[in-house]
Amino acid sequence: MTAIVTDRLFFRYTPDAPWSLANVTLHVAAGEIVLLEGASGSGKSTLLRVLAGLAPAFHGGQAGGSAAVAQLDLRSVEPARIAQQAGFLFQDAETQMVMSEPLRDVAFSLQCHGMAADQILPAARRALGRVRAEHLIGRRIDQLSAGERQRVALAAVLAPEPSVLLLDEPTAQLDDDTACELVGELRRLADVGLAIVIAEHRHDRVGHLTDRVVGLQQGVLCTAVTHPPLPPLAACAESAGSPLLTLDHLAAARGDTTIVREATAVLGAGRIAALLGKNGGGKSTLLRTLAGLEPAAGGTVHLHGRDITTIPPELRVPLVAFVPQDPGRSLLCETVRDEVLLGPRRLGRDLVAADALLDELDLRHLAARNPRDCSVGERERVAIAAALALSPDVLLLDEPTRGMDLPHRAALVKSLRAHAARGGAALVATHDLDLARACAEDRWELVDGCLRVGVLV
Amino acid sequence: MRAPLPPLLCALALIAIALATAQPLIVAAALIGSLALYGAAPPPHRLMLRLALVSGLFIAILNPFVAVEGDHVLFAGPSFFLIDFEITSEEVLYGLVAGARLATAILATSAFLRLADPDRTQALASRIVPRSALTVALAARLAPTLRRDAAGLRETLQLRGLGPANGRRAAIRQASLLIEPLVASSLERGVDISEAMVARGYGGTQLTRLPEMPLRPSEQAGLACGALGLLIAVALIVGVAPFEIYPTAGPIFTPLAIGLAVGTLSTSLVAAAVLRSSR
Amino acid sequence: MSASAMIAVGGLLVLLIGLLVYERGRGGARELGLVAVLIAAATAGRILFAAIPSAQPVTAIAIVTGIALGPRAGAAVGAGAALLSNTFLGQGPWTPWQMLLWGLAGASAGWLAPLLRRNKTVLLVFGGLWGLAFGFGMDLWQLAAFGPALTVTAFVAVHARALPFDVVHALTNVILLALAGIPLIGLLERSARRVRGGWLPLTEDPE
Ligand SMILES: Nc1ncnc2c1ncn2[C@@H]1O[C@H](COP(=O)(O)OP(=O)(O)OP(=O)(O)O)[C@@H](O)[C@H]1O
Ligand SMILES: Nc1ncnc2c1ncn2[C@@H]1O[C@H](COP(=O)(O)OP(=O)(O)OP(=O)(O)O)[C@@H](O)[C@H]1O
Ligand SMILES: [Mg+2]
Ligand SMILES: [Mg+2]
Repeated sequence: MTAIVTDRLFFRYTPDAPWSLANVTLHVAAGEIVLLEGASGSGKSTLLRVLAGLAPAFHGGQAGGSAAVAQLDLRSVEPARIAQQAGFLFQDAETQMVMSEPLRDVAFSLQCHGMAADQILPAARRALGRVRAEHLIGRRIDQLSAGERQRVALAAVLAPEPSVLLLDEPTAQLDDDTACELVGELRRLADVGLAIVIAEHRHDRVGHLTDRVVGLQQGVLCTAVTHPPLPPLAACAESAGSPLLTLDHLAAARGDTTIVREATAVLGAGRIAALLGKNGGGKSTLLRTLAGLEPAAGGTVHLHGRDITTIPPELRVPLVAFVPQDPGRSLLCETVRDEVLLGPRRLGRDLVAADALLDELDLRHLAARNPRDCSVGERERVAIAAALALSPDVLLLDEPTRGMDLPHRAALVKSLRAHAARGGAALVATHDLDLARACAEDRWELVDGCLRVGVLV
Repeated sequence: MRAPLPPLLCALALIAIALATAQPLIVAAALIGSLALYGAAPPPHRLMLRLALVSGLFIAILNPFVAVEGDHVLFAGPSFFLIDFEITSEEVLYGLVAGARLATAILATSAFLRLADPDRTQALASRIVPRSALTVALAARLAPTLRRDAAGLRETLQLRGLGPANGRRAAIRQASLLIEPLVASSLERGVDISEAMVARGYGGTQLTRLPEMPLRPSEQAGLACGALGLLIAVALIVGVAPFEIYPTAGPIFTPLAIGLAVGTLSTSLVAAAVLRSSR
Repeated sequence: MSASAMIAVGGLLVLLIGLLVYERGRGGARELGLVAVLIAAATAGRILFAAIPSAQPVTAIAIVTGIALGPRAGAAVGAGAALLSNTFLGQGPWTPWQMLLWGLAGASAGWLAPLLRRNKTVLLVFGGLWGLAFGFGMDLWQLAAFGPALTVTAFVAVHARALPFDVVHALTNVILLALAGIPLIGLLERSARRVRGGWLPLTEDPE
C-alpha cells in the first residue's frame, strides 16, 4: 500500500519566486524508510512541510499538482486532520514545543490524538523513555540543551504512533548513542508498517537502515549523489603554537547550577580543537562562558596572556567570535549581505574581505534575501560568515553542521583551516566525529563536568 | 497544591455576600472571613493586604464628603463645589461598609489565586472555555519565549561587537536596530506556534481532557463551606434580611442579621482552616 | 435593581457574551497563534512600563489588532492582555472590568477599521479618546460595584484623582500609535497574509 503519493507537485513561497519544489512525483510505501538527501536549500524541508499539510497553509505561497498522505488529499483535507495520520518533526525542535514541560508537551500530542485520558501520562512517559529523555521530566523545556530538546520533540512525534512519519534532520543535535538508538527504533517502526521519510545530512548515521535514498536538487527529484566522506586532517602540526586561549580551572554555570566544574586547557595559535561530549554535557555552556555571555563561575580565561574572565562579550569581539547553537533565529538585518557586513562596518574594517566570505560560504546567490526566508542550513552559514567576517583570533562554533550537506561541510573545514593557517585558533563543539577529525588536531571532551584534553586520532 | 474549585467557591461566596447586603455586621463578617482565607494562602501577604487597606480606607473616608444623605447629622458644615461638609452617621456607616466590600473583594480574589494550583485552574478553565483558556495559556508560554528571543537578538548585537551603548544617540541607534527584528520575530513566533499546534494534531479530533485529580476530604469540606456561603448570599439577594442605610439606618443588631453574620464568619473560618491544612 | 448594580452586572454580562463569541470563533489555530503572541507582547509591554502608572501599550496594541485582524481578535487581545498581565501585576476585582474595557477598545477599533485605516489623525484621536474612556470606565465601575455611591459628586471626587493618569494614558496611546501604529498594522496584515496561501487549481499547469 502506498502511504505517500505525489503527482507533479510544485511549491513556491511567493508567487514571484522560483519554484522551491518542481515536478516532484514520489511514492512511498507503508513499511518503507526513504532518506531524502540534497544540498542545503534544495527543498527538503519544503517537501516535508507540504506533505505534512503545513505549506501552503502556514507559509503562504502556491502549490500545484496533487499529493495524498495516508489516503488524505492534501488539496482538500484540513492540516489538522492530516496531522492525525502523519507525525512531523520540525527541523528546529524548539518551534514545535507547545507546553513548557516535557511530559506535558508529549501529553499534548496524545490529547490531540484523542487518547483515553487515563492512558495519556503512562504513554507519554514511555515515549520519553524510548528516546532516553525520562530524566528530563519536570525540567523546563526552555532550559534544556539543544539535544535534550530534540529528544523531547522526537518523543512527542513518536508517542501518538502515526502511520506516516516525516522527520526533518532528526539526528542533527543528538549524540552518537542516542542517534544510533533512534535509528534502530525507526527501523522497528517501519517493520510494523509505518512509512517514514527522513531528511538528513548525516548519511553515515541513517544510511545503512534506509530502504531507498532519494535525491533532491533545487526542488527537482534526482538520483542521490554520493559524496566522498570528509578526509581526516593529513599532517598534524606537532608544535602546539604559542598559547592563544588559556583556561585555568574554569567553571561554567547556567544560572545557579554549575555545569562544567573544571576546565583547564590551552588552545595554541594555528590549532583547532573539537569540543565533544554527550547531550547536556555542557559544551554550549562552556562556549557561552568563553564568549562572555555567561559569567564564569570560577577560574580564569586568558587571551594572549591577558585576563579576560570578567570582560563583557562585546569587548571580547573581535578577538573572540562566537556562533551560538541556534543562530538562525537571532539574525538582525534585512538582507544576508547586511548581516555579514554588520560587524566589519561597525569596526571600520575593509569590506572587500568580508564580502569575499559570501563566495567562500556559498551565500552569493542569497546576498539580497531576508535571512528569515532562508533554509536552516543557509541561515547557519550566514551566522558563520558573520563571525568569520570579524576576522577573530579565536573562533568559537557551537554545532555548526546543522543543515549542512557534505560539500558545505567540506567548505567549512577549508575555511577553518585557512583561519588556522593565518595563525587563528578555533574551538568547534560537534557531534560529528568525521568533521572533528577533518578539521581539528585537539580533542577536548567534557565528561561528567570535567574537561579532558587529548589529541584526535 | 489545592484543587481550584473549593477556594473559588469560598472566594465567590464572600464577595457575593459583601455585595448583596449593606448590613454592617454581615459585611464585617465577610471582611474578617476573607482576611482568614487570605491568611490561609501561602505568603507573601504584605502587598495585597496593604492595597486592600488603602483602597478600603479611601472609600470609607471619601464617602461622607461626597454623599448628601442620611438623617442623623454628626457635623453640620457647608457644602461647596461638590464637596459636602455636612456629615451624617449614615454616611460614615455607608462609607465603612463600601470600604469593607472593596477590601473583601481584593482579599478574597488574591486568596483564591494563591490557594489554587495554577495548572489545575487552567485545566478547569479549559473545560469550560477551551479556546480562551488555550489562548491565554499559549500567550503565557510565549511571553518567556519572546523574552528569550529578545535576549538572543541582543546577544547577537553584542557578538557583532555592538555593546551597551555609551551615549544616548548610540543607545537609540542600537534600539532601532533591534526593533524591526524583534517585532518580526515575535509575529513569526505567533504563526509558528499555531503551525506547531496543528502539526501536533490540535483541532483534528476532540481534545482529550487530562483526568482531574479527585478532591481530598479537606478540599471537599472547603467546597461545602463555599456552597454554604453561596447559599447565604442567595438568601441575602432574595431579601431575607433587608437592610437600608439611607435615609435612616435600620436596627443593626437584629437576631436574623446576627445569625447570618455568625454563619458567614464560621463557614469562612472553617474553610480557611481546612484549606490551609490541605497544603 | 439600582443603577449601580445594573452597571456592574451589565458589564460582567457583556464580558461573558464576548467570551462566548470568542469560544465559538472559527478562526482556527492561526488566529489563535497571532492573538496569543499579541497578548504576550502587550503583557510584556505593560510590565516593562509598570514603573510609570498608566503608561502602557495594551490599549494601542488592542486597537491595532482590531484594525488589522478584526473585532474578535482585537477584543481577545485586549481582554487576554488584561488577564495575563494582572497575574504579574496583581489580580483583583478590577481584572474583569479591565478585560471588558480593553476588549471593547479592540472590538471598537475592529468595527471602525475602514475609517481608522484611512486617516491617521482619526486613528490618533481614537487612541487618545480610549485613553480617557478607559479611566472613566474604571472609575465608573469602581463606584458602581464598591461604592461609595454612583453620584456625580462621588464620580468627580474619584475621577479627579485619576485624571492625570488618564491623560498620561491617552498621550501614551497617541504617541505609540503615531510612532508605530501604521507600520505595525502593515506588519500584522503581512503576517496574516503569510498564512493565506493556497493550491493552484488542478487545471492550471504550474510550468
Ligand atoms: N519562508 C521562505 N520564504 C521564501 N523562501 C524560502 C522560505 N523558506 C525556504 N525558502 C527557500 O526555499 C528553498 C528550499 O528551502 P528548504 O528549507 O526546503 O531547504 P532544505 O533543503 O531544507 O535546506 P536545509 O538542509 O538547509 O534545511 C531555499 O532556496 C530557501 O531559500
Ligand atoms: N538556560 C538554562 N538554564 C538552566 N539549565 C540549563 C540551561 N540551558 C541548559 N541547561 C542545562 O545545562 C546542561 C548543559 O547544557 P548544554 O546546553 O551546555 O549542553 P550541551 O553539551 O551543549 O548539549 P547538546 O549536545 O545537547 O547541545 C544540561 O543539563 C541542560 O539541561
Ligand atoms: Mg531544511
Ligand atoms: Mg549544546
